[in-house]
Amino acid sequence: MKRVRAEEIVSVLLIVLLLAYILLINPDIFQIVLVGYSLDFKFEQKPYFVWSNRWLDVFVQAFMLFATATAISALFRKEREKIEEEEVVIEEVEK
Amino acid sequence: MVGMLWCCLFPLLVLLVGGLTTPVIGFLSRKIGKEKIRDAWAILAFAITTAYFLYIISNGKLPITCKIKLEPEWASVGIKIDAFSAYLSLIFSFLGLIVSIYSVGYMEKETGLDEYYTLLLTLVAGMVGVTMVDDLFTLYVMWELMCISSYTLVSFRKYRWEAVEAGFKYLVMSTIGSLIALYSISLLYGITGTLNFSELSQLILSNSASIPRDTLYYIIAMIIAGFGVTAAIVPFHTWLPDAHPAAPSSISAMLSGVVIKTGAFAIFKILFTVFYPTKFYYGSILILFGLLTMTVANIMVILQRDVKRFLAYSSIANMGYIILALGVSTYIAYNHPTELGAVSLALLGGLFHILNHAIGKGLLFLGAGCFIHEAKTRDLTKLEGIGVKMPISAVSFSVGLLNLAGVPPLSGFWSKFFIVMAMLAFPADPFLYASTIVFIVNMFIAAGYYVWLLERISLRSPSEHLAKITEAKLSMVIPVLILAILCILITIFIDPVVEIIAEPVSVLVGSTVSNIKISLILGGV
Repeated sequence: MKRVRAEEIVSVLLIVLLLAYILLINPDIFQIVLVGYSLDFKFEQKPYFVWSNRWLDVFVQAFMLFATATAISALFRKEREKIEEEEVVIEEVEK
Repeated sequence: MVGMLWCCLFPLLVLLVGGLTTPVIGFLSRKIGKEKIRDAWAILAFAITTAYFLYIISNGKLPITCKIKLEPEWASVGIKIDAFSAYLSLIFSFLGLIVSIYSVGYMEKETGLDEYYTLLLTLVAGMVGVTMVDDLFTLYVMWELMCISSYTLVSFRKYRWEAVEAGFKYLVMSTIGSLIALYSISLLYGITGTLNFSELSQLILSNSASIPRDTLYYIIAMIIAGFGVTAAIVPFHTWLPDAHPAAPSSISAMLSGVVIKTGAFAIFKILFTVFYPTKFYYGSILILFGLLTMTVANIMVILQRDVKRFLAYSSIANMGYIILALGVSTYIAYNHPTELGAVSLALLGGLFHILNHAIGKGLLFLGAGCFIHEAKTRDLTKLEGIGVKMPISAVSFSVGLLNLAGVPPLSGFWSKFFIVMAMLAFPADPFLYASTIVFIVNMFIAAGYYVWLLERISLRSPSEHLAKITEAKLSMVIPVLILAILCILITIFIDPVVEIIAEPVSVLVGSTVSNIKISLILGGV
């Protein structure tokens, strides 16, 4: 238990150190320099944009919803009969 | 244009419509008392997709491109089936076909098979979609479709604690990886205003002086870490040894054979098309990741008693080889930009190993599934000598083991040989030389444990525990046998196979790599 707690503390310290490195040593690391197209395009002015230009994304996202519904249905299904389970190998844990 | 659009979308539509209609077919087939019609429906969808990719590769009319284009042009979605995407899609859909045939017998006693086949079809649709799109956002959408299906398939046997735990761990880790990848995609969009692959590369190249170099390197790091979770690169691999044993063996074959390759594909594709290896220095990091991945995994394999966990760790080791090949090619491209031959050879080795590992590991997981299905245990000590009781499965399993062990002349040897040859092309480079030594040591460790497993499974006398065991059902044995025969056929017809793989290599390198033949490479040696 003590070992687990020590590992957690070390992990948190490492993350804090990494963030400190990013922010202190190199603060402009995520400075965005726009080099591409001018973004004067307003999506709300052209509501047909998604349906005309990105319909493939919408189409696949509809299937994502379908897959999610199927996934939920699969996980809440009823079992028909008792299935003979395979033996799981469990290694002994050091106490 | 419309014809071309449907031509591009055809494989995706077959898989998605197949998935959508499977529950309906399942319902109708139960009404008439012939449930196998639903299984046949899924098999048919995979067969059509596999035939489509075989046809377009053999027809040689690649790339097939189309753009769903309206104004503004920069926001249009592109679909591009080039030699690289067709090659991987063929592997994905073929393994889907084999797994769906295997599932007819293997999953017979399970409930929820309508959902199972639907999710299998959407899983492969997501993977095929990832390879086909020419746009980072659509790639991400396809990626999520693949991920959602795979989480559930891992937890499909939800009546077991192990499956639920492994599925949840996979869900959490993969979601974090996906979010890291999404963040890198959003940064790229923020900088360039586009997500189209070719436009991104042009904008980054032409404005490389004005964009902070550190930002681009952080984006590269996030892409490797984000997609690296699915590719099971150490240290992002910890979901895999839990997920593979917990999933049904058919799904383990899919996960190990192809799903983790999709992660490698995303890294290959983005790094080669957006961040040119000749302009960005990330090769040595990838080599180190590759070496770390294979070394950690090869050490962990030796400690395993669970046959599926054993195979899962060896999959991580093989991903190490593939990442190493990518690293070597990008390292050479940056440090020796005129040596295109060596870059191509490393890539050829990596892409060939994707094929060898997909077929070999698919075979091993399906073979192990046959043993586990009959013996009801995954414990290696209890599976000793099962080959005597199940000779067809065991012989096929042994072919897969020898192939992945890299025993010459099997094709698994050649893919590793290509990578080693590319690394040894620069003997004066101490980093590449040292990496080659580590790689070769790992290859020997891997060969040792594969042969050790072969000896235990196939050559020992069976214990009393296996007294009543007989060969698995025909519908399970046939797919295993097909994969074993394929391993041998690839070895026999290695020249034409290598010529087919040379096309995706030329897509990545951007030049024609013609006349790559084993005889030529050996001549060069």
